[in-house]
Amino acid sequence: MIVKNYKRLDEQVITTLLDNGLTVHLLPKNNYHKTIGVLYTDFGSIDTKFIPKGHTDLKSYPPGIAHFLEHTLFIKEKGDVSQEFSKLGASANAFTSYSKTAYQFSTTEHVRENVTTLLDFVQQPYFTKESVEKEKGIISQEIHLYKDDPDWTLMLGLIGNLYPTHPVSDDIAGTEDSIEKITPELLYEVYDHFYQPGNMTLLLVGKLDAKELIGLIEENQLSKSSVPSQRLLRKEGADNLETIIPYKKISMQISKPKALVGIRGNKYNLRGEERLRHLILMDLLLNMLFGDTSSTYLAMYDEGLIDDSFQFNYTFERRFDYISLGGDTSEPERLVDAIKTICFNYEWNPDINAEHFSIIKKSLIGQALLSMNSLEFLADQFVEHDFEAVSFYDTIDILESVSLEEVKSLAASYFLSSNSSFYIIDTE
Amino acid sequence: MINIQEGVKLHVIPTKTFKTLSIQLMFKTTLKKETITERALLSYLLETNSLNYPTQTDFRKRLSELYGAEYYTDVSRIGNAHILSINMDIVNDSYLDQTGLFEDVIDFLYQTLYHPHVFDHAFHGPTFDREVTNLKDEYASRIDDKEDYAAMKLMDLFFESGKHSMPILGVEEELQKLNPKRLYDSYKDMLLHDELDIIILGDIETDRVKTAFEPWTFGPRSKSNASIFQKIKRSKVMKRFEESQDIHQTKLAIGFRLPVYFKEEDFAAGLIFDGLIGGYTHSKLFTRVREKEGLAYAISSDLDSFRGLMLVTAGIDDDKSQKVEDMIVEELKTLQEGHFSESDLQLTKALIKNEFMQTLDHPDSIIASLYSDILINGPVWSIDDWVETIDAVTKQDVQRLAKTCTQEAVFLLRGEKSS
Repeated sequence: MIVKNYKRLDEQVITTLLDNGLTVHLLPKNNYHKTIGVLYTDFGSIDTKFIPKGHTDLKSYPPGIAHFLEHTLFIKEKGDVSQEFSKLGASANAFTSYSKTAYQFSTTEHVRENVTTLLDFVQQPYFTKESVEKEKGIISQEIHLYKDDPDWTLMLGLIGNLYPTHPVSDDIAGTEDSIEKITPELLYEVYDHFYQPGNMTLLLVGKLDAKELIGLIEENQLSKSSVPSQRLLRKEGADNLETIIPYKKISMQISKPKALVGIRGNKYNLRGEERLRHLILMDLLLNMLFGDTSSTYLAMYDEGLIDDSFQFNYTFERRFDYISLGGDTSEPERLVDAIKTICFNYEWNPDINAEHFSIIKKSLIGQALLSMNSLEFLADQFVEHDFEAVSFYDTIDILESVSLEEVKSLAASYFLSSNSSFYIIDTE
Repeated sequence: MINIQEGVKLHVIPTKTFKTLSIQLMFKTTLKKETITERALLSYLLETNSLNYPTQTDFRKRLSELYGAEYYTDVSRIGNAHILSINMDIVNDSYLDQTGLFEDVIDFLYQTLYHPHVFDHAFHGPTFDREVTNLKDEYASRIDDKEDYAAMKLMDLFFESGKHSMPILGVEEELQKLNPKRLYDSYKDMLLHDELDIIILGDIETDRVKTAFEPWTFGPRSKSNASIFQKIKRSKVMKRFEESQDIHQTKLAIGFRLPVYFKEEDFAAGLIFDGLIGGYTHSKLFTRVREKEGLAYAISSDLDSFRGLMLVTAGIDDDKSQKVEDMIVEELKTLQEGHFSESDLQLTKALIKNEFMQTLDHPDSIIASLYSDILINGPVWSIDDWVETIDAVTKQDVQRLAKTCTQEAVFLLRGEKSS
């Protein structure tokens, strides 16, 4: 058991690795009323190719299978497991991302029983033909819901351009055709591969008694599988990152055109403190160039090229990382040019200076402290990134230590025009 | 609570839970159709710049220097009250090696409100024009979010194009009537005559707060006597409207009249009824329409306890819309006939209590709950009061209340591409 104290923040992270391979993180915040529990696996929508138990070759699975499994895991012989949580005064939820699947409860009472329920329902799959067929109807409604969302279409379009042959270009939920191919047998194969304790983490945040809960979790795990599992060996084969589609334009029934520029990177293998530092540097860089304190932001705003919908994001997941920038605009082509000009000529950008750097630093320190109010935010941060020896709580110390030179060298290594693409949705 | 002036009150909520201080200034007036749009535009202008920080960049740089202080304005309608709020979330400077952050922030707020970007008794022209454009874009984009669009159309049917159906950000025809001078006049009117509640939450001494607000000058303002609740009469006919769009999913929105008002007699029974019909995953609608029939991904109900209104929404296949609509009516009937178990009732109670406890972990919801109490002018419920009030509700109470729930309006946004 490792206990890390963050004195300045008055926060604590307790980590323990159980004999069966399950990692447990506890973040006690005993001034709060709520406890959030998340059990997650390092398995997401991009993991559609692997060697299942008893096979020697790579096998491909239908896109959307991770998300489908997430839905179906809630259904048990006695009905939907959400109701079990309800009976314990908790609400349950789950989500699937590109590289993770997470199951979560949130409660103000019966923490022990809720933890047990979470572990048991995720670790005891029950997939039947009947439940799989019914879930197909519900998920196809979910796919339709997103199809009518133009911002979702825009983001998926950009990803498709950046990664035309990578599984990230498939919708997380799959398509109506791909989910049609899913069977209970396939779900069990996928489950057996990716839901081994060694590939999973249990996170508890909020009001909690650490010692008591660790005892409970250990006992629960001991009573289950007898075989200690290993960290997963990933053999999905190398991703093809050769091709890139430079641009695409479609039209939809929307009120104002939308444009999004993307730049693909190759930093996704960074680990631990290096990863956290990299994410912080990227945050500084993008805020200096595109944040609402930059002169370029104001110029674009005053010209009517952007409005409040303008956004920049850095997505960092297992097997890929990319920047996306854009929003609603009356002149999509001009906005694309403006964004590209700023990125690829950053050396001459007037906003890259020591004074602006120190303002953005202050702002990000404040934002990190503000975000720590939210247990949900903390839980999401820990699920999204495992920084190994460090954690999100180290953000402020790292922010204070980074230099402008580091930001500049990140820009130099990341802003390569051959790695960029854009996607436009025009009005009809 | 401290009375600073007639109609101006300061509330300090002490808590050590958060690393932040939250500051909210609530300007309240009686809801009128004519002022909805101008207040929306005011909220946009007040969020953009001020005389001392005349460009958006200057303004935002100042906020960044104040350790990323979050600053935002908002307009809302709570029953018959119309509220423009000025909100800030800042780091508590005890976590920084700097003191006086709170005072600097209050000074920033003072500059923003008392010295807005105004020349010659009119808002700065280019800022005004740009924010008008932004608001126009906002209106135009209403059609992009299909769920919001369906809910907006339903409100139009429900309240028959009055002050209660007008979107809270206003409408274009009203926006066109505004000019920088007229808008500044109504801003002065708001500053002088609106009831004002200043709410500060966090680990800070009341004296420190009082001192920081000393430079602010407030004139007296009269209290409104209008009832906060909008009590709806039953409509003689069920109103219905359909529209088609080139989309994949059909959106169904149904408005029910439900005479439930915040902290009045049937309030707790109303929360439970709403929870039982569509509030949770064990609710009648979720279990039947989603789990049993697999007809929807999203279906839920929502209660507005300041207007006695319950909204049910679902995203479905177009050819199943009549079927789902019938099911919703049937499930309401099931509750009216008392066909729900004691265990469902207990489950709903437990979840409502859990939700209430969870709100105590968010500064915004603690403030919102205090402000609701201010609006109805008491009573303040302790945690125990909440729990007892919820626990006291019986099955008969819920059934009796269910019988008063009537369907008033249906809006169907039909997806032409729906299979």
